[in-house]
Amino acid sequence: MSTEVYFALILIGIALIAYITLDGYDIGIGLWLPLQSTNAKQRVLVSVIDTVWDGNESWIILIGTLLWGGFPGIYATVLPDNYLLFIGVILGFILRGVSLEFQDPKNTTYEKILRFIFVASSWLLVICQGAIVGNLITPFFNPAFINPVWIKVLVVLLLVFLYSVNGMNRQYEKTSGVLEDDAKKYGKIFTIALLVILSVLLLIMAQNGSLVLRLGETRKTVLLIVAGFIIGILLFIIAYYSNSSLRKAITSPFIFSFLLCSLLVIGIGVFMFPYISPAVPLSQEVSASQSGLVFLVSGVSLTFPIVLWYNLYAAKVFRGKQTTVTED
Amino acid sequence: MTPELEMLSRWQFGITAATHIVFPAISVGLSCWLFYWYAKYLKTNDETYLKLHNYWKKVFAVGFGLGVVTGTMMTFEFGINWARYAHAVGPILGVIISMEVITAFFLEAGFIGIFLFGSNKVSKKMMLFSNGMVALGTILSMTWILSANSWMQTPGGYLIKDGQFLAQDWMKVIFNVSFAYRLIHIMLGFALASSLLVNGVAAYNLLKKRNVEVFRKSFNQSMIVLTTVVAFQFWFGDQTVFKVGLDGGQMGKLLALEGHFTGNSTSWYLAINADQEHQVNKWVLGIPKLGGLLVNNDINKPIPSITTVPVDKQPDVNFIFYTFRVMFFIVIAIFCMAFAGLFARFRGNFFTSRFLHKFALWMTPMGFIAVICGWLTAEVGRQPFVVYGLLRTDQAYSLLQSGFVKTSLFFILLIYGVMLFYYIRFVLKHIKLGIPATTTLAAPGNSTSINHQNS
Repeated sequence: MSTEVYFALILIGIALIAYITLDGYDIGIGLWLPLQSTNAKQRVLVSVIDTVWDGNESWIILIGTLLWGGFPGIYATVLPDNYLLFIGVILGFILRGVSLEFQDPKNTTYEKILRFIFVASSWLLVICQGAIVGNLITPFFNPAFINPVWIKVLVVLLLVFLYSVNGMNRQYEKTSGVLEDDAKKYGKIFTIALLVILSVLLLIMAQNGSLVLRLGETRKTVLLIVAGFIIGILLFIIAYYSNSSLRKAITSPFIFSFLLCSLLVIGIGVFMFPYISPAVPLSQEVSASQSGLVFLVSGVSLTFPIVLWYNLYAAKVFRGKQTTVTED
Repeated sequence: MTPELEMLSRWQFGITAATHIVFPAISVGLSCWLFYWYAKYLKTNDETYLKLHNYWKKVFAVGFGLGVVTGTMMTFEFGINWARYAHAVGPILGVIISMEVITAFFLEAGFIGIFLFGSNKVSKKMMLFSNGMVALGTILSMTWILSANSWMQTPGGYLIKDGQFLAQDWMKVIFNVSFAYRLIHIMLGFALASSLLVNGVAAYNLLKKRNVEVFRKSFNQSMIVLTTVVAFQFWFGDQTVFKVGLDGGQMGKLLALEGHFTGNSTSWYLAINADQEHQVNKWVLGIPKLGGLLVNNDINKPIPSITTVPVDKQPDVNFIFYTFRVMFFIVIAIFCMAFAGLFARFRGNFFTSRFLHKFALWMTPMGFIAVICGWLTAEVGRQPFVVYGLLRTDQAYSLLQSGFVKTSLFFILLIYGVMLFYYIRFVLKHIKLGIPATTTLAAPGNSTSINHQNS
């Protein structure tokens, strides 16, 4: 495979890490909004999201277009194969955006309906996204060993709790008082749930995944190291939310989300390579899209650092806790 | 007869794209207006400009958000509904759209937060800069999209290998034959649409005698823009039609706009009822000689018939004849309004003429209708091809179960319907409310609390 293909894969990987970390937290906060009983508390949480949701969502659009430009065969196979799930994802995005844009604090009933839509669409999004990833991963498992439905259920749950942990890490960082305490409490529970699901998946993989994929020794070792680090981080998050001196030492737990998502993407990448979808090997794409890849990779690589710079600047502007909200 | 699945896929794409295009028209135009008013405020310290800026910012913010989500639909729709097209054009159009996301989308996304919510966090100059970057992002986005769309109209710089289009010369791909004309044409269209909105709302407030000082300013400014732009639009619109029709080889589209099946008439048709199966018009209503003058610059020279184009390469004549007429007559109406404005200035009743202000009020949504009709003319007129002359629409759609597309179309109609209903309701409420007397004029940069401006 050519260098451009590797570069395109790395770009997609970076965009995927950014997406599940960033949109992951705003979906995660959306999933568990009903845990907050009062309207005032829900409003603070929504205000953590509504400055950033559209920017965070941009990353999945980039993933889509990079896939289209870089690997059109995969794009044109995976998307129609998962037609209704993608429709679910897109309608989830639309409903979330609409429910955030049309907020009207003066009308409580209206606000409650929109909150319901916001929460429901967050669940719709994560379930459909999880099912799509599940559909991509299941062919690597031997169906005689495990029913593929179980793999899909586990992947959906994995994504639900990954986004939930990201959401709570962000909530802990951006809020104070009761909301901060809740983030601490639920952050711990969700991390334990994530650890359990991940361990089950890893055990199934160890028993079976390699049978189909025939991973070499090197890749097995790399996967083992990555899995070790992921479990280490999860254990550290549990310790973090249990131990006050740890929390004093590290004030921004969101960094754990970034590390966690990066390692997960690397792990899945190592596991699935040289495939994005088992239906279309990457090697079939290369000759077709070489000219596009050169332009794509050079153009995107040149602009990427600038993009990261002004996004970091925007993040810096909005740093700190978000506890008071006043309307115009 | 067109297969059901193809029709369903086309309807779904048409509905989602026609909805989406309204929001960029708002975002591109309003972000430039917002930038202008804020810059004027910083330069003159005249708070009426800040009032205008803050008033329109809310309409912009909601429109921008809806533009993002309806745009997400488009990105994935290419793959889910048009997979064979996506596979064929991915190495070219996937790359161009990726460039759009990275250069334009992220620029907008990076600065929109600061622009909408950062008033208490950054300086006034940084606010202006963020506003400028958002405006630049929307324009860049439009530029890339128009490049991709124009390539589908007038493809260039490609080679075909194993059923896929590969770029041979990126300059020829991006700067294809119709790109510059179509870009300017749509940019002027967006300028007209957003200015008609600003103009109509100003007229409404002048009719109601509310915040007269503020809205006299925006009425005056938007009338200047409309009067100037409409003249250019006439010329560029005309040039675009001929560029795509003659240089781009889309004679079918060009001739369908005139709706002639005989080749011996000089009339300019106002209305037709085309029977395309038998290649005749059942009836027509036209102005004799005008067609010859407009199309051929010669009142006695007949307009060519669409029958010179093979039937299987003809677009739907009735459809694009009328979408084109609607767009054309709206531009004529803008021209009349601009003329009425000049006349009122001459008479000295520019700010008091109820006729002019009512005219402007009625014209408020017309720009958006024209944009949608113009887009439909371009896209439906390109049929039966998705990439003109090279890839037919019946070879482009995904081979799905039509039940899937019916399901998605049902939910899209439902959700888009509700979304548009609430958006129009929101804008109308905002317009009826006007600028509240209590509106805080705390200049961005001085406030200490978190302004939740997007509510």
